[in-house]
Amino acid sequence: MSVRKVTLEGVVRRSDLEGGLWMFEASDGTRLQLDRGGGSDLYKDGVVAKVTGSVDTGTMGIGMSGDILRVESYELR
Amino acid sequence: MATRLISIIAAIAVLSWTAVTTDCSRVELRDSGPFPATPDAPRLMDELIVDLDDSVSDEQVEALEARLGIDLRSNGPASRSIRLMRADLEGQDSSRILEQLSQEPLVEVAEPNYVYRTLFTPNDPLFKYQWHMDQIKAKEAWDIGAGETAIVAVIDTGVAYEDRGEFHIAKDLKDTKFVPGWNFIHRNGHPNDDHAHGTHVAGTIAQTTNNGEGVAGIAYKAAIMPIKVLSKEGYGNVGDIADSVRWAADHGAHVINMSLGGRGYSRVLKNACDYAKKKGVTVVCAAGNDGSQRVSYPAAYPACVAVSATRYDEQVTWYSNYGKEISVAAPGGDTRVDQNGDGYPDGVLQNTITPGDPSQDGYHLFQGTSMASPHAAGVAALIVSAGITDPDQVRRVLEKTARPKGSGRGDIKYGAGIIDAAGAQKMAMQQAGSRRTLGGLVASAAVLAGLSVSVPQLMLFGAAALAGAAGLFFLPFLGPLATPLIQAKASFLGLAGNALLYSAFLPLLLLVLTFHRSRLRLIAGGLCLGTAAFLADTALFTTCDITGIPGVAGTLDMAWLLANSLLLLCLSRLPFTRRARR
Repeated sequence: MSVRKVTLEGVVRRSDLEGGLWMFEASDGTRLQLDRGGGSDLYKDGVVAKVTGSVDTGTMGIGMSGDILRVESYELR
Repeated sequence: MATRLISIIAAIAVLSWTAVTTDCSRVELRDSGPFPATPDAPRLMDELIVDLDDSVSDEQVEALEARLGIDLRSNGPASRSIRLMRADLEGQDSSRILEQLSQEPLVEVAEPNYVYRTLFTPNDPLFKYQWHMDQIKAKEAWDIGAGETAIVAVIDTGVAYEDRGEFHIAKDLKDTKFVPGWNFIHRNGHPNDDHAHGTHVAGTIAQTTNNGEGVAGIAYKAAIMPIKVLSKEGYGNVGDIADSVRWAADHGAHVINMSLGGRGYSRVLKNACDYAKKKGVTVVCAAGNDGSQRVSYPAAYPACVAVSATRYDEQVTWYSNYGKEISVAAPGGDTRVDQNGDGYPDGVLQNTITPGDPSQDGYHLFQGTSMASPHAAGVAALIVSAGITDPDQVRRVLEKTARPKGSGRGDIKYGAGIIDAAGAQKMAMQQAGSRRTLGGLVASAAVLAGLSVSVPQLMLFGAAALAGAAGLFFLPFLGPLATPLIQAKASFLGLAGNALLYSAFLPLLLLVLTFHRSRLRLIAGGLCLGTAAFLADTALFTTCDITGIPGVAGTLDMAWLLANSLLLLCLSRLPFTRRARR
């Protein structure tokens, strides 16, 4: 179990799994599940953003498709 | 004269019981839900089966549809190449269309799609969209039982199980049985769902069924223990999840479903799953949705039954994780396709709250390994209800009865194969029946030791004892009649776990009423012994939550069962005493 700070650039994607999830596909290929933190402007399919937050491997959820990224701040691109 | 009077009273008692049984089977119809427009289940002649010439093109099918004003859809993947279609004619003149079809040169055969109702089919109007229930042979299982006395903990985002503040009980969970749960997010005893996921999962396991509303659940007579451990965003921390597993195991759950996971290995959670298994709880988990060869935790822990997801055509879905840890596969759905041609995406259909508004609910098609896991947990509940509770045995029954796919048993994607509810239930019945018969034989030997008993007496006494202890378990097609008498009565009356039924009361009453009739007395004595064996078996091997006794399937319930068993064991000697023979 670990918590690591990250700043990643990438695209927000709406997933049709589990009744609907928000994913973040980082430009380095990392795929993370967003925790719904931040404003509603971040949660639009195809939005390009730079997100800073923490990835906590001690968190589990319904998504089961990538670690969960707790959003602390973001900039839309 | 007195004995004749007693016989008449006994006959009246039996007739009254039958009348009550019949009355309890009535259901009250209510309006159906918002998804989709909900016509009644197809009746005879509302649907035609149409066999077209194999060489007919899609364009020709469309032209035929336009000409006759009907909608033709494939009968299933296997029927596509041979052009076997179905035509839904609700509200149309089926006789006229049948005649028109028979005159079409492209049509080889057109006939009413007769429904052979040898199996129980629930009257829930949206059941016909639950292809996933057919994939696991749920209907065949319901002819035998539906999870009576089993308790399934749903560790998830909560369940819409009570009317409280902004929360409400989902309309198709209204008659589902619930036992107390816990909310690990808000630290209280109200684990309501503020997401939608947990309610959907609970519905697959125990949706209220045959109530003329919505959809069906696999073990619809089982009780759900709702546990909220995930936030309204759908995630939670490993410490709470581990605590919730221990909590469920300590509060009487027989099965735990965890449609959740992550990539991080946690010794704390692994230990909690081991703890639950040691306490006799079967832990069923979703394999994860990365679509990779890496099963998520907790599914990958050895104590857990890991479930991968299939879609309508029985292929493992694009998103399902897989690996050597997979135990079995079950329907998880694929909402990107409509392979069965029913006009809706092939997701798993259940009743749940409207995401973001826990005051409303509807019928939603979800996909994910989260949807596969509760199918397996539901079947595990059927196995538990049939009398097999040891987690290793439950896993073995699930795996041995699964339909092998891929490279056969042990396939990296399917595990042992796609679960089979009916096969699993029958195997569990036979295993439990053998165990109970053995128990009955041991008890008979103990009771009859030292007594002078003739062969006819022994046959009467023994047959009744077998009916009480194990039922006709070797004839599973008899449904509830093949189960021990108490289970059969509980199933007919909807009184699973009833304190009076799971006691010495009825056999004792029968013994009193028949005590002056030599043959009937022997039968009553045999029933006393058989019921004693069944109650002891329930206490020692399966556990059961007795209504009115504090705690859920705990020590007090066990004490009740054992005390009544002992009383009946003593009573079963009475037909052979000297006083009785006079």
